[in-house]
Amino acid sequence: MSDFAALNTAVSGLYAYRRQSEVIANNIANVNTEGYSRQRVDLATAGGGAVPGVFSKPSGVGTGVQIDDITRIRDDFMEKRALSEQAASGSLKRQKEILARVELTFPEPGPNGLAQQMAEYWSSFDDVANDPASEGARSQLLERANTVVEGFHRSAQDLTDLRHTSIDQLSAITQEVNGYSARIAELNSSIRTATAGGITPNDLMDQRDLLINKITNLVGVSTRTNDDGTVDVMASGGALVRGDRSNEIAVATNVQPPGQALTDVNLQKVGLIWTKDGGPVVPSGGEAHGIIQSVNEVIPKYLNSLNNAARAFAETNNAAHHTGYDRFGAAGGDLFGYSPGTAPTSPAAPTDFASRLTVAITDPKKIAASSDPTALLDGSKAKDMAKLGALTTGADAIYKAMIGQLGVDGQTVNRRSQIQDNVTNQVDNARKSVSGVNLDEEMTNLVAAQHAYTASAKMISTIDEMIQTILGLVR
Amino acid sequence: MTATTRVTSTGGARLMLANLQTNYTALVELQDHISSGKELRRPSDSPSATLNALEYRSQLRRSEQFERNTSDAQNWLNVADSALTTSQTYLAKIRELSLQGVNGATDSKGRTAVANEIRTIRDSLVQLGNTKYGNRAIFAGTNDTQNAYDSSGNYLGNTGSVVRPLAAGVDVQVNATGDQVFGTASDPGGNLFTRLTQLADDIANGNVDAAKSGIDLLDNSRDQISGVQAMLGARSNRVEDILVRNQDVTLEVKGLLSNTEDVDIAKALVDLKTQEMGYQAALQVTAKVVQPSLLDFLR
Repeated sequence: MSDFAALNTAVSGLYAYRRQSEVIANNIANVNTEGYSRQRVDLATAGGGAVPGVFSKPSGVGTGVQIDDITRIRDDFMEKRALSEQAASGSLKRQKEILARVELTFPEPGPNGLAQQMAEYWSSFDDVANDPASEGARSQLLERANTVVEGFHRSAQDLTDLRHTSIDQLSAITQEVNGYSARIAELNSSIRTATAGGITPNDLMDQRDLLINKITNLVGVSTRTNDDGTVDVMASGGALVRGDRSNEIAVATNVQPPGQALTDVNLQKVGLIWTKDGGPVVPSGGEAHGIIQSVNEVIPKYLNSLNNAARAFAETNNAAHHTGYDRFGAAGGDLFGYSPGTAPTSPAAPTDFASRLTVAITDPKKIAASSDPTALLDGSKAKDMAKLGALTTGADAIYKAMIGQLGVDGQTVNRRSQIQDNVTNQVDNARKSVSGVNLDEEMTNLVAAQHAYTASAKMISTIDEMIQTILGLVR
Repeated sequence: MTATTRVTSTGGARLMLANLQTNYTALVELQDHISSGKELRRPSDSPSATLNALEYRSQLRRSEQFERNTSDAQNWLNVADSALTTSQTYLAKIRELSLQGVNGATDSKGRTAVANEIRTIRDSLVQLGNTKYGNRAIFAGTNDTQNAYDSSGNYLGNTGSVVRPLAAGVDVQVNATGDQVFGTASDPGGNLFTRLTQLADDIANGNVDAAKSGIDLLDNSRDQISGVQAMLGARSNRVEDILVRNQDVTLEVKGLLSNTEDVDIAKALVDLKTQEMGYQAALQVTAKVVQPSLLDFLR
């Protein structure tokens, strides 16, 4: 082994520690970069010759240090776990948002809620009963009837609007997902090329992982890593990304279970489909899952209850009103009707009663307050109708039960969302505790690298002195 | 939070930020409660309290309506009572006059004068029979008529009862019909007004025996009216009791509603102060912890 070999050994140290400090600089620079995984230089000893030659044999001393690889430090198990937790979080976040909007639709408990408006309506029957001849009391009754009807209309309209905006959001989400899928496919292609060329494209892989995190937040995906460095992104058994190709998804607004034709457009179910063949995509989580769940289950549930309440309101009122007599002694007609359309004849499927409910009479004299066609100042029918609000099967009861259900649902989803957020945060922290950059640690490593660099440099000058010594012998 | 082996710079910052946000959310929540004065703002705040509040609200509507009904009932009963009291005075006067009329000492001129006075008072009694509350003849039952009696004393009303619901399941009749008060046309001698007309005629014509039996009939009428008055009086007492109870119920339900919906200000303020302290402490600690790193200690 020549004297100059030690020089090479020292130089390999200079290179290695220079590279290490470069990587540390990169880590520090990216301390706040979203999705960045800290990198580490894998050092290995460069072995000396191990095969004996004809005139020489190796001394067994190594020939320095070499850089094996620059690797990303991350825990793949944690990363995969985080994908599903983030998907669950995304779904619950949307469900929570939509339910909060549903709650805003019903300003309960309060003076502007339907419950109070119906109570006031019933109570004005008593005023009519107290003074059946009074036009004022009768007009007030009609006014309050209109207020209740408007309350039903507004709530139904709010729910329908909420449904539409939610579907719009779903559509925006699919576009976002399609964009991410396409970029992941492009990154896959670049990564494959780089890997084939023997380069480890850490930064590209970080970008890809970040996109996968974003996509799972939206639709809930799982991943599969291939040998060539590409990652397949799977959703609902199909591939959003396979190698360097991506598949698009879209919103379908009339996804019915077979045999269930729903005529009411507001109750039709929405879903996601593959654009290429129209096959269904059933997201396992993510914001899309939350929206689909809300649009298909939550909003129709409250719309149905509201429709049932509106129907019960019209039917109990009309049934009682038919048995009474108005100011002219004529039998009472319908107090409430539907516009457009008529009342259902048989127990029909819930349909948009709430938005079609109208007050059927405009002339206050036509309110049938009397139970006797000859006793026109009798108010006993009105007196009895004032008690209809207390019916256990009436609109008030249905509505109150719905509000109770809404409260329970809201509370449940809030709680679940809170718990899920905690879990997601924990998993996220566990994940970040592996892949995140710690400045203290980087600084320590930097100090170590700096010292090693200085020592390697010192080696060179020492060997220089040794060579000088040898050269001095022959002077 | 979890005990993680390795705390990273962003992770630590995120954790502290999350904790700060939790603190701040609680603070804003409390401020919201205090500024709105409502503990219960949406059903999910507390589903059971929401249902209670809805129940209390409709109870409150109902009991306020009952209060209105009760005061309406009281007015009906009072108006009827004062009409009947006045009619008793008139009838006493008539009795006095008719005794004078059948007295043998009264001559025909005096009898005519007595008869005329009786007729005048009778007209006033018909007016009393037409007593109105609001625009409604209270003795006409439920018939849609301006007056309960025409000028000759014929009943225009019916036998319908006017009923006010004063509490859950408590319906009280607040009227007495003309037939109940002044008698019907099929009674012996007809109703009070026919009887009075007859009595005046008998006195004017000097039919002393007929006039005397007319006075007996008059006494029957007075008893009948007293009976109705007693009945209305008893009802009035009952209504009075119910009114007091309704007012109590309204107050009580208002209290319950406020307990359910409204913020306990004292408690909320104490909570707010505590939460504020917690938040400030968290801010200070965060400011202290986030700053230093090894960088500060290397040359």
